[in-house]
Amino acid sequence: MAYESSSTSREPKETKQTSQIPLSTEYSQPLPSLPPEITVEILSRLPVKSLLRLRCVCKSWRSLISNPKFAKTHLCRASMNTDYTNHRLIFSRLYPRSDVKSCSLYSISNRNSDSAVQLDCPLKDPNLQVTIWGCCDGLVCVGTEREVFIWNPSTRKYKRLRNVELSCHGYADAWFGFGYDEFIDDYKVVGFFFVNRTNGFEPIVKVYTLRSDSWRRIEDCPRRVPRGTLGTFVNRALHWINLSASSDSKDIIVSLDLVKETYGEVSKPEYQDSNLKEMVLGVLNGCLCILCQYSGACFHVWVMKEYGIRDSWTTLFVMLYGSPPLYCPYSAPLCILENGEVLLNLATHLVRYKPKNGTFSFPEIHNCSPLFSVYIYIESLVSPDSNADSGVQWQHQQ
Amino acid sequence: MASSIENNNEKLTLKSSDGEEFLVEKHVALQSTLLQNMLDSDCSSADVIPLPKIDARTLALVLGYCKKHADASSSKQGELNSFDSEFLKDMDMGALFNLVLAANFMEIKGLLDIAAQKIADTIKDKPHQEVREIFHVENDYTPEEEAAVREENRWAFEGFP
Repeated sequence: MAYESSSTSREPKETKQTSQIPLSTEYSQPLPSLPPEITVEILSRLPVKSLLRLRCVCKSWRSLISNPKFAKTHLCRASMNTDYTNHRLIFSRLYPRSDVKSCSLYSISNRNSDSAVQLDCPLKDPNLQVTIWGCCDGLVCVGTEREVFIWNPSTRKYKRLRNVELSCHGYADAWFGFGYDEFIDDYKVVGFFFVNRTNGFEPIVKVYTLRSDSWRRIEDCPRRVPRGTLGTFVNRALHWINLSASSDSKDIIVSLDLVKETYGEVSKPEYQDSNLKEMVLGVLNGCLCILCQYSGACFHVWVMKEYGIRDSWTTLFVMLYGSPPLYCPYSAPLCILENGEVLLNLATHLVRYKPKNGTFSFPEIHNCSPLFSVYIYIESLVSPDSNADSGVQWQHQQ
Repeated sequence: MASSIENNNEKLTLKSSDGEEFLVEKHVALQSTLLQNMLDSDCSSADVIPLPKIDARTLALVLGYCKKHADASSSKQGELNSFDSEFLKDMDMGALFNLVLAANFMEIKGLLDIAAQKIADTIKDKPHQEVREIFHVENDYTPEEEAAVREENRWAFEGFP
């Protein structure tokens, strides 16, 4: 892989010198210099925090670590890590409402416990509930009723979106979806801005692209858009469920393709309708999944193994949750751990469920309860500000 | 290390930068994409293949890795994983650097992966000044420039010199 600004100034040394390096633990003899592609190979395996420090090594390392292409290589490697070393859980909380914390998914997976750390969230008003609208490639879309940010918690960089304050624009409500447009290689936020009309709440749909830093109105959604639902990003589209208002109409999964910016419908699994209380969408191993809750706290989890193929919907497991809390906001499964257990957010708890024998356990998260919502993000170098901090900027400073 | 020469077509000879010859079974050599491509083309296995960038000590390590991975059946992934971590366990930075260079040159992806990961794990908590020395990189910042770059992510340096 070539990174124009990344090469170190040294050429690989002659073989003769290389072979004389003693196998000692002292660096008494100089180590062989590594060609740029191997430097990339090594640095792309480092945690983000280490890389932010290593920008101080020399100018070419700073350029490399700031290079968006390197960020992609790093992200790609991090997402392939099946032991979740580079994955973290992010929590918004009921109290304090502006509190956003995170903990290591690796620790939860392997030790069943971790201490949550406070994240340096750009939203700081303690009176406003923070909502996490979505996570994609290490970027988190997060907001309150006043502000929305695209934020990378691993680098602590963020970008504030313009024109989202509800009261200023006469919106009664708004909800957002967040994803990536692979065609233009840019991140998009879809905003459903609800306007109070005589016949009810109708959303105006707008798309924000990170690079243009502006909103643009797109076609209205031909389907009713449920308020407060979070869009699930899978296979370049956002998805949400429209629950039927009456028994003669059907529930549908609506999609919004972020590349074409067109609406569609995804076929649903053949779930049983009787006693169905609620459904939520989620993502498991890159596949769309759906959790159906029935009365009596019985949950069925379905996965669409091949996107868009109706017959590929498979029941992953059926779960009975012993003592259902009265108020029970729950998430679709967050992830499948290495041992086959499934991590979910039920009510204000994080639970892991073992489909094999139907048992639950509760990971211990110190300094963090009760939870409001839980998401997973990858630690990445992806910048929420496409214009900032590239190697080019450094050259201008010279 | 160089074993006794046998008249076996299924073996080939590799020569290290410092002149040592290694007789290698063909299926072991095939772990290396470089050697595989050479064997697929017109290169005769009777020839001695020179590896001018790899010293004997490193080549012996590389071939030990290749042999283990060539001989193990695919069902023994767990065993290979523990071999890999044991293989690199007490290796110092010099050996790791030579190994990663050899794996890159010989195109042995698995070895490149584990050696690069081991180096990354070793440097991830080291101060940048030490990493600079390990990688033998010249500091081309002025003290003011370095301080400015550091200031951009000051929080990442807590507990570091």
